[in-house]
Amino acid sequence: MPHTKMPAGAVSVRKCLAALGGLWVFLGLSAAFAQEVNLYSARHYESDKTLYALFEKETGIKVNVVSANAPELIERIKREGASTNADLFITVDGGVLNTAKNAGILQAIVSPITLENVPAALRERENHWVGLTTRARVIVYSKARVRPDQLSTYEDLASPKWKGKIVARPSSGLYDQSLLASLIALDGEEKALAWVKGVAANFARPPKGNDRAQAKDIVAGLGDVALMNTYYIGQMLHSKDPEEVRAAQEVGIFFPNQKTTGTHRNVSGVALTKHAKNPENAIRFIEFLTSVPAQERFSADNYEFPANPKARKHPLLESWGTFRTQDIDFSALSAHNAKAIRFFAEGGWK
Amino acid sequence: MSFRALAHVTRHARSFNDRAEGWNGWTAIRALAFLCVLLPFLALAGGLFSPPGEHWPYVRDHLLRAYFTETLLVTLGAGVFVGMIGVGLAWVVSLHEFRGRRFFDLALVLPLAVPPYIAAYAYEGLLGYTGVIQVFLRRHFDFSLARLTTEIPAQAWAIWVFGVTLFPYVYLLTRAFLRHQSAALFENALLLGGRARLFRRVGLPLLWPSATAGVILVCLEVLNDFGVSSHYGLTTFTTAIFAAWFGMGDADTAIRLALILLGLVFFALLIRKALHDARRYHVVSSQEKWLSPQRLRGWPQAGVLLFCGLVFLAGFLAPLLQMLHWLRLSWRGAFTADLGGALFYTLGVSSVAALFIMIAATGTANANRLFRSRLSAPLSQGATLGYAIPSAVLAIGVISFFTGADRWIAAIFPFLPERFLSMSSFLLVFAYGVRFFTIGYQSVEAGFAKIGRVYAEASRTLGRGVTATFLRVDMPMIRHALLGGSALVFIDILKELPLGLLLRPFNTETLGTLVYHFANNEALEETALPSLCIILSGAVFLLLTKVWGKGDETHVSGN
Repeated sequence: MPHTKMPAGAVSVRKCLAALGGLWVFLGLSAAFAQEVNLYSARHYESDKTLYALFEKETGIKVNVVSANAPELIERIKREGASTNADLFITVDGGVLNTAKNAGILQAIVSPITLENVPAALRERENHWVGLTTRARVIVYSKARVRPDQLSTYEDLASPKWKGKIVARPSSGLYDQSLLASLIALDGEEKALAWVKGVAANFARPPKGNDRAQAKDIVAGLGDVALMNTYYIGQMLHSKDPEEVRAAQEVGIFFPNQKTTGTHRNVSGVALTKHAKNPENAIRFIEFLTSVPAQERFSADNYEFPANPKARKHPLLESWGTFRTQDIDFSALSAHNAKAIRFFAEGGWK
Repeated sequence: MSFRALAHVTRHARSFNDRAEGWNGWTAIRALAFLCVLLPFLALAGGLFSPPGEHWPYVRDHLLRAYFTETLLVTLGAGVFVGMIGVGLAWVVSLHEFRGRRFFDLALVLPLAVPPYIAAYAYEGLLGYTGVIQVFLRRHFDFSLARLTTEIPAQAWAIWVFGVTLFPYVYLLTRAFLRHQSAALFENALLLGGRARLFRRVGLPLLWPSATAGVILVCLEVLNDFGVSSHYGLTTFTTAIFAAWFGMGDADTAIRLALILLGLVFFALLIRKALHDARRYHVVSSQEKWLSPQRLRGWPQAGVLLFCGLVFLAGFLAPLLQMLHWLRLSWRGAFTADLGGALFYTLGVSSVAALFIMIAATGTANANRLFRSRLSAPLSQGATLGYAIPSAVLAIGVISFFTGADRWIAAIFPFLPERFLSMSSFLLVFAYGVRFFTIGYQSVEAGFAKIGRVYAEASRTLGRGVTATFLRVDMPMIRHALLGGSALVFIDILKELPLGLLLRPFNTETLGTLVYHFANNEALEETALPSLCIILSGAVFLLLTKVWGKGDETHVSGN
């Protein structure tokens, strides 16, 4: 360093830097509470926030949350290895939950209460994850132009009678990837690929938009049928935008494959990470989330089906009655995901 | 590169100041800045040498061509579009006097405050089936636009959204260039031919370097975009990298794709350099008479007003109004503690990161100016990497590195809280630093380029040290470049999404992540309040720098 007189301004710059350093230390310290449970979550619903606050109030255990997209969170837990910050991982797809299990970042949840709360079909075989809620991917149709008796199965959507009548979202969406993965598991690869080709040939327009956009395009008359997750219908019917409510009222909902393989159902669940630092708190939190009051909150606020059969459903969901669901292991969704992505590309479903 | 190598090269460089100062505070800042920018890439570099991932052959044979076409189409489309809007506006506003010119001079910067993904949501709301326009037409004229809007391909929507929100990069650079041009050139050209000819024969070649610099900045921004592409379901390289890495779980394939993307980026930078070197016209005469704008009346004035007004409407007013409309629907319950926290956190973290970036950028630029070394040029090009690489890849690199660093820190300083760095905002600030360093650096470098080294050398001759010279002589002269650079960096961070999504600490939201969560739940009307916070704070900041920058008109070069 050349010899220079330090001008007066430089001192304040140093003070600033010291203050910033102090801020970091503070932020670091403030994250290190005594009683806590750390959550990486890919669910960003208001219902979840309400439940976290409720748990904090009941137990005094602080719930710390980072929410981001599931695959990135899995990669983050992988990279953090033994020093991971996450105790729990929460996400919305059975396939993704199994990907996390296969990545070796989870451990079995040992909790009799939880096993009693959640039926075996909604848990991983060795309890590496347990389901919190389920949602069905159903057919929505124009009440004006389609009669429910014209609808039957997912497979039927590939038949030429729907030519120019189907609107769909891009195949980059996980919901349709998991649906296709389930069809690969149930119908076999050949039929599944043929199904993609058949549906793609029936498109009324190139795939675009999210689930709600499909319902709106049906109401706009661009197409007659589409696939949609059940909770989006609930959310649209209760939207703050009156135009959206109006649109939702004009589509009907149909549970396909009732006489065959059952409607595609997906699960959202919670998993305990292998290197969790607060496993007792984490288990307590899982038990809380699967308890009847928490489960009813999921359904009431977010229109999802509770995993705990003792919990009451939202009246809207109740009005749909019971329905038959696909009888497959959720691990099939991750096992066939890469294939599903390829089939979409090959079959022309962009 | 080792410190010794850098010191060695610096010591032997031919420079005014290189006698005994090969290694000093300034070169240390430079070395540190470059090291920081390169760190996350080193953490990922292992992936380069591993064998191709299991999905690579399939991706290469079936998808690569589609990725290329879509990426090039959207990037070049957006580039041409912003070029047309930006240059057109700069030309019109710089060379003409018309009613509302002062207003538009301010207003046309504002679209920079609107993140492209928020504009995409707004346009979906505005023009969608349940949007105000379609509802109005349906109810009063029984007329449906749905068929028409669905015919417009997603790529066109994306190009439109990028174009109307990012054109100010081109506009600002071109306008700044035009402001400092000698009138003589234009007046002579005008005498010799008409106005159209003037634009074609004199204007375009003159503006070429600054316009392409802006266009390439926009192209880089588009190449790195995630929010807009994923909203419209485009298969660009960035979304493909996400799909390969996180969807197929194939990091090796993802890194390969990222390398191809980097290749594209370097290609773009090479083009910029070639164009810049080939056509650098700077007309600086001793008798300065700056361009005086020509007064417009009648139809030409109406045309110009329409042009400016439409661009302002498309890039700022329409998204703003749509968000206000949604706010009217969703304000109940929208003012939550979450939002307050996110606003506070975003402004705080953006300011801190912008401050660090500007310190590093100024140090580096000053070191490059005074202590030239053979490595300085490749290093400052290398720093552009951070800007070009997809944010998710950068984020994973940062996480990999600092999780390791935390283990070391825990071993050396056992009294610090556990996972000291990776649990705090440090990760996020660091990643912002890596990503936006080049934006700050380019502003400072441009500032230094304007004043040259004469003043600094005079000050040194008079006995002031390098640091004292910088603080007393250089800094006051480049303060506008510093302020402008800080503003650009601050606004860029404010608008950033993927890094914030992945790297923010527990229990914090940035405004961007709040918007994203609502949009991800398909509840677009709920995005209104956090979106408005981003847009308005960005706009206020832009206007402030415009006001601070007033003195910039009397620039210092050539005197």
